[in-house]
Amino acid sequence: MHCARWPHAAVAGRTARRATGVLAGLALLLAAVASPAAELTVSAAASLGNALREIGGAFAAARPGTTVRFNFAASGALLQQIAQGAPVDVFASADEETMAQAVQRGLVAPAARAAFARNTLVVIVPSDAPALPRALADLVAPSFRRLAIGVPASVPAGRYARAALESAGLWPALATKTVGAQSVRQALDYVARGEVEAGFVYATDASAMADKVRVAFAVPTATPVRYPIAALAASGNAADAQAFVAFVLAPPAQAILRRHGFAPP
Amino acid sequence: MKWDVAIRKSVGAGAGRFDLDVAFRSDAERLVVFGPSGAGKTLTLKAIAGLLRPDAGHVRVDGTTLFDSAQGVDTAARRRGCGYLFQEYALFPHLTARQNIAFGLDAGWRNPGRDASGAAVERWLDALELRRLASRFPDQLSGGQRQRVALARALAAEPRALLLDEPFAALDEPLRNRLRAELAELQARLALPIVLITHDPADVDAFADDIVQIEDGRVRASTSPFLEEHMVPTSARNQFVGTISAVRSGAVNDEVELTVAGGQRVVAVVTHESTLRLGLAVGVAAFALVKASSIVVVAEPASAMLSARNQLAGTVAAVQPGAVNAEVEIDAGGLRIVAIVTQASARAMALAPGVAATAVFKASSVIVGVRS
Amino acid sequence: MAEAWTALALSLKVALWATAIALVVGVAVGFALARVRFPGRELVDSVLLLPMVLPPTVLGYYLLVLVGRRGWLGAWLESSLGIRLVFTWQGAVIAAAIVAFPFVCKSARAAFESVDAQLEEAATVLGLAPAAVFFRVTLPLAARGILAGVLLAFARALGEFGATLMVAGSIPGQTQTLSIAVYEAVQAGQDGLANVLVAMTSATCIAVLLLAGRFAPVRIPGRA
Repeated sequence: MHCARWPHAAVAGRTARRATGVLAGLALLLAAVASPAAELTVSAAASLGNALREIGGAFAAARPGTTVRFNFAASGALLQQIAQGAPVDVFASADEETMAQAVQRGLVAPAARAAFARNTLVVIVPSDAPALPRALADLVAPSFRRLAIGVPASVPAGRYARAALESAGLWPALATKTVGAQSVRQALDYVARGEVEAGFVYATDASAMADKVRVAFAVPTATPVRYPIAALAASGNAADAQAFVAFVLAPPAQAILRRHGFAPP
Repeated sequence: MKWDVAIRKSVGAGAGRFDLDVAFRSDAERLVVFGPSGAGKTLTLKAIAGLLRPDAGHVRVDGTTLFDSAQGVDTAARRRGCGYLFQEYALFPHLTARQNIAFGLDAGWRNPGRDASGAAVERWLDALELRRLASRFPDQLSGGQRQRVALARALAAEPRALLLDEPFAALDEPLRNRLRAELAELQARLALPIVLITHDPADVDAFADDIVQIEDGRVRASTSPFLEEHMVPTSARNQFVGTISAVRSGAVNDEVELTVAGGQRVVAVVTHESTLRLGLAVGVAAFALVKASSIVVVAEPASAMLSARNQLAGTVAAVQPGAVNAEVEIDAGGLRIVAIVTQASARAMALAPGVAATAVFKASSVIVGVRS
Repeated sequence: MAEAWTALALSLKVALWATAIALVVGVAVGFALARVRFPGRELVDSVLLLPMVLPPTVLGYYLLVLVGRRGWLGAWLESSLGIRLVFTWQGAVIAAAIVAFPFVCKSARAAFESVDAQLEEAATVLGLAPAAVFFRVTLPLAARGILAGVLLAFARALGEFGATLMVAGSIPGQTQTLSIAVYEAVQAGQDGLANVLVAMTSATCIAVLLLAGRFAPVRIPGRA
């Protein structure tokens, strides 16, 4: 079904590229701990952690001899690493904006990007919190001393949250109460520990730590929380990279994503 | 009794252990503790100063008990009022000479300023000729200068006694002699009791009213070998070596007073002619001979007034019965006196070691001599 | 740019407080280690030096577990004194003080051990109580060695990142120190801001070293 996404020319040149890929893989082998012939490095947004690991496992099982290494962090941070030359094959970010920046900097071919999942931004509180806020305005109350938000400059979840608060006219009032988290998972951790009274994370993150946090309400965002994925132009293993991208878009992987709480793209 | 020290202390462990067990009493104003290196002299001095806590025993200076393990007395070093001169002077390197001297005058938390002054500071700067060195730091002073600053520092605090740890050891000969004389003169002027420890016999010669000899942690003898050098072979059982402390001219004769071991004073009557011939004068080293048979042992001296000029109180150290008579040895504050009494008297008076007794003899029984 | 100045001011405030705490505690502990003989002394010494060699994130984690709202110390602080340390500049000070402490303690101990005991005896015999001896003789003579340790401590506190990030988080104006600001600027691709911050940090460190050179104690023995 998704074979149409593969250029037919690639099939012919595939042998040559395979050879290059193997050589590159061997080079990596020399430098790294004993690893099998094909290795893929995937940098993905922190919120994709649980889901993508499972998908990676399925991918490797379907293609024996391939391993997938994951690098999870805030999308902005990952982008910087790639821009500075990190040897990454596939990039999956938590918002279109970061991917757009990647395209703008020539790291990703415009046609290569595809949205593969959607998420919801939610406000969560520690599981032992006395009261549940019901709307953004409730967070202004003094009982909410600190709010965890990803650092907007590099964390998409933080950007979504700030945008939502700004459009509700609440950002000036709440900005002084925010604690900047380096990734959405760190924001989740702050809430789980009870160090903050509330935090902005994705619904999928909240369900990952369902025992320690409770979802208070969903935050409507002006732009939908959509996750794009793309093989990087400078990838040393383009064929496998594209295969992975295709795999993520295929039904088996999508089912895994659904199970983890992600909506279809 | 000026000095009454009896202490025990063990330092170190195993093979390196050192046991100190010294006891001495003396009325001398200038007591010298003499002995080879490592004998325990510094430990003893520190125990007197309170810088070392003996395992047991007592330390009494001029009647004041500074330490007594049996009674649980242990006066802190800072309250004992003993001036201490360290072997390497221990001057504070971050303070000037003036500040060092003024150091002990204020027990607060701040050091004296560079311009510290006051009666005591000025007095000692002048007395020890340190005025032009007052603003210098210890590393800018010579050995002798440092010693004088250390001395001034100790004296400025008006101590009740002065303890000196080998004060002249690091100095060369001419300087040593000069400082010895200065110290002697200072001590006499201030009437300040001092204990000086040294391994140099010359210090003893120049200084001592009394000696305590320590070797390997124990007191060896109350008179030392070189003092015995001053002795002459004589039939007199008592030969007291010391320094002439007074010469009083009378109409016909002179009265010569000798300060001997234990700080005891012996008075002799000497003709004018002898005084001149022997060159007897204050400060001259001399000895007194007294026959054992000239000495009368009195059990209760306070019960009568006696005309004899010499009455030395002490305790019986030993009673040696002979064929006819008994030899009684009396320890008068460190001075050993031998008297001969009849067996009958010895029994009648129940003379035995430990019994209090006074040796009495006339000034005219004493023969004064100097070594030629 | 305003955020850069804020980060600088905050970094200095945190580093100064942390150094002050490390100074007092480090000198006291260093003195105890130098003068008091007790069983296990060297073991205690090694444990106290751990913050010097532990990865800052490990330290940060231990701290978080201890002073976080669910930690036993943090819970007690909040319930009895109403104090919360996580996400506050005071928390940043604690984290920085802990990493700075070993520098002061180590050099203080060495400095005190180098002070001639005879000088302290001399002061005692001249009538001074132990506290006076410490302030008038021991401390002035150990000051130089202690100062060297304090400088290192300050530099370490100024540059503290890992533990601080975990305990104090990143709150601009309150806990976002220079180190954290640089990290975030780089993550966000704001190289211009990062350059400014790095230049500021370097200039501050150089200024500290120069200042220290002027105030380094007094006399060198041998020179008039």
